[in-house]
Amino acid sequence: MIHSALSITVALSLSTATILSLMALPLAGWIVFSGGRASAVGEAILTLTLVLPPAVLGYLLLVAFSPESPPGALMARLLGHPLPFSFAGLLLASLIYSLPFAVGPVAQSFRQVPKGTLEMARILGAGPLTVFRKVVVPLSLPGIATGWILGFAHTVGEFGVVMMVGGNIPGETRTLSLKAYDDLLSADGQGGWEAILPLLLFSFGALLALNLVRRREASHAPDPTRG
Amino acid sequence: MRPIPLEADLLLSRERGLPSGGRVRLRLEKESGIVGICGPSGSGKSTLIRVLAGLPPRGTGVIRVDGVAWLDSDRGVDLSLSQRPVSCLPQGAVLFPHMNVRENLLFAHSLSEKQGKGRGSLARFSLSEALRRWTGTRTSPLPDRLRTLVERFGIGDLLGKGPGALSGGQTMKVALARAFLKDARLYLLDEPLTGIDPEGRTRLTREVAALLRERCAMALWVTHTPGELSPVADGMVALSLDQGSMDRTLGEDRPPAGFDVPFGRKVAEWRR
Repeated sequence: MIHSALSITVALSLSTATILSLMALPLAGWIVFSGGRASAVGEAILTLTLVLPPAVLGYLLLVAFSPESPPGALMARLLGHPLPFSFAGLLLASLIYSLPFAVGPVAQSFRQVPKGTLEMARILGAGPLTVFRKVVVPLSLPGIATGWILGFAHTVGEFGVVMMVGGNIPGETRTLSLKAYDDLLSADGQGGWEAILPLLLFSFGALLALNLVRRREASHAPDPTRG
Repeated sequence: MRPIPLEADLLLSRERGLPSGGRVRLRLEKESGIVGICGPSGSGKSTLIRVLAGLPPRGTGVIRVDGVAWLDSDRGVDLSLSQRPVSCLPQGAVLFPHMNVRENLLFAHSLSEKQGKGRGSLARFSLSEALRRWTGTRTSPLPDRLRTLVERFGIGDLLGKGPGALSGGQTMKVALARAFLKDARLYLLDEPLTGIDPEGRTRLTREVAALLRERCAMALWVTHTPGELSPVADGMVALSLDQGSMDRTLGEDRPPAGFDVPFGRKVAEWRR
């Protein structure tokens, strides 16, 4: 089936952001509240994709996803087709690539929940899961929203990873950013406004949404001048 | 012989984990009663409250309640907060900022209910129950136990307000009522009347004393105004600033320091 670059990008970004937001809750909870050394290592691994050049990461993922590697072979078996150059491969790569963007803000807002508030819930008899569900998560909604928006925006804009893992197959794995690149290089010299405009719109929309979340957060923050 | 309701012999550590704090010994020989704790800032009042509750910093020594060891450093016994039947109003107690007063109280109420029933609440989960709870938190009538407490603490008119709309004194009243939603053997109250007007203070002091009698529970009550607490307290502990302790290393034979007995009756017993 042939899909437009726009619909591929939207489907990829929406599912990546949503899956990551769900994964971010336990992951950020572990990083922030477990306090063990393992969580520091875990956090370092999670943020690794922030510093690796996207094309390098894409290459590593391509190698890992290849049906010749054990994890790639397992996935190919489950899916019925090899991961590279497919939408599923693209999605998995995006999840890994955008992970720190979605988890970071959530972890940050978990850290900002005051210790006294957590302690109070424990004193009243709440177990760790109840504290997490009833206190930590509700107080971190702005961070969770920020994580979703950043995960979405980052996936929309990714280039190197989708190029390597997706293979830029039109109608299947060619996203807007790849289309913009192709159009710009194409011979007719018309540029890639068809791809660039929606990319601009998405970026602007994401930034606008981020600012709205921040404003809401600021207006709802407890007033420190009140006793 | 009946076990002593409350006895503690503690070495309080202060900042940076140094064992520089004083040694505190206290005993309450009545089933129910109030031990007041006073002393200048930095004398370890809040630390004492936290150690008894099982909150960090950990103390060393012995705490026994009704003969059960909550803490016995020599034997490696140190019950966690959830294992101790305590309720605590720590200094700077906070209401949950994402819940209004009513929801704050209902949350504490549901936690204490759960505790009473024991574990395994997942098995009793039903969708209709969850829906009822979800839609009903703002409108449904309060459970009896909760309503009684709301009336006794005089916070009925605050139920619909958010924590940000409350004054300091109102916040304390709600936090105090919330702490008493939990059934506990020992209530640890760190300056529970901060910011409350004099009339309210007298009323709440009496109310808390009555509640403790009814529940046959004990309280440790940190106060800066011992005179106010003396009508209901069974004894008063005055912690003092342990001067020189910061630069002195702790020896085995160092006498326990940092307490005296301003008006100790037989219930709070202080010995050197």
